[in-house]
Amino acid sequence: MRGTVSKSGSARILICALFLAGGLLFLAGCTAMSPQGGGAAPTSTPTSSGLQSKIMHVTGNDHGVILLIGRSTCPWCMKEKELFANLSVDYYWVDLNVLDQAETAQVMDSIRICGQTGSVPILVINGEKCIIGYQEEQIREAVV
Amino acid sequence: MTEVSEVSDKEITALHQRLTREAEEGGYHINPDQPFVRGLVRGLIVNTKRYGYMSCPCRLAAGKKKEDLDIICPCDYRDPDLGEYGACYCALYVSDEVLAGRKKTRSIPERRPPAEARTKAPLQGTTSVTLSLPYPIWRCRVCGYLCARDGPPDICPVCKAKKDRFERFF
Repeated sequence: MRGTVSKSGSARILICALFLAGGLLFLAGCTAMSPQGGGAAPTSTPTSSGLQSKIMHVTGNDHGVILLIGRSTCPWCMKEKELFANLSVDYYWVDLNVLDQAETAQVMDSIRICGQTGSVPILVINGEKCIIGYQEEQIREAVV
Repeated sequence: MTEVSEVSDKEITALHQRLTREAEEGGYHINPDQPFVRGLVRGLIVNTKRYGYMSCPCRLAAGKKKEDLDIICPCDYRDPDLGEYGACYCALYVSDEVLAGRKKTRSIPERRPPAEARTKAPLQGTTSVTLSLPYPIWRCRVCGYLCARDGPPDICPVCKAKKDRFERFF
């Protein structure tokens, strides 16, 4: 399963839309990435602009719709991406550093269940479960 | 908005050395995990270039200094986190135990209140006690240093936090 880029089908987009306030607008433009985790280059060219083009899709084994929100300035976020790469987890990644104020507000508003402290990494699983911080044991339990 | 990513090794080394020196002078310690800390220091430089101040690399900054004062490194939450967990939220600063290798750092719970609570909450340490003092007392929100003078110092002599991190205590 690892390395496939077939996860951004319509069913998955619909699920994404169900749990994110931004709906289809939010994840419809998810961009496929190679599965090496932090710093991997997109394997396809973004076809849309704005927030949609800034959400990266790292392919791997399906453990639900997993969204990782972080900052590329944060080593804990990089650790979480490395863990996902080691576990071959399929997930979406958004780097708050590259979003403008309106896009950041849109993302944060869509994850109100996680609270609003703004601390990262923020992991959202199926729009129901939230893990804030690099809590390795909790993350392993949740995604494996 | 694009990330400011042009950070040289030289810049990282220079800031790392300055933070280490200032930390040790004030009785604090920088995390000895070099690769991890260089990542954090790089994040501090990116944030400084982007916002104009050293916002925490692991927290979302509002981009307005007034709203981000509590998360400018060293943040208001460093000392209680060092006491309880042995490291601050991002783990740039660590306790004696971590430095000596007797304890490992890990991701810790966030102590910063949600945005709504931050805007409503009064300044920590303010008091309703009225005293007749020859000078007002100023408190550093980062490390708790107190001084009696007409205004706060430009830089905290203990933790090197800047003037705007002080609050009038009495």
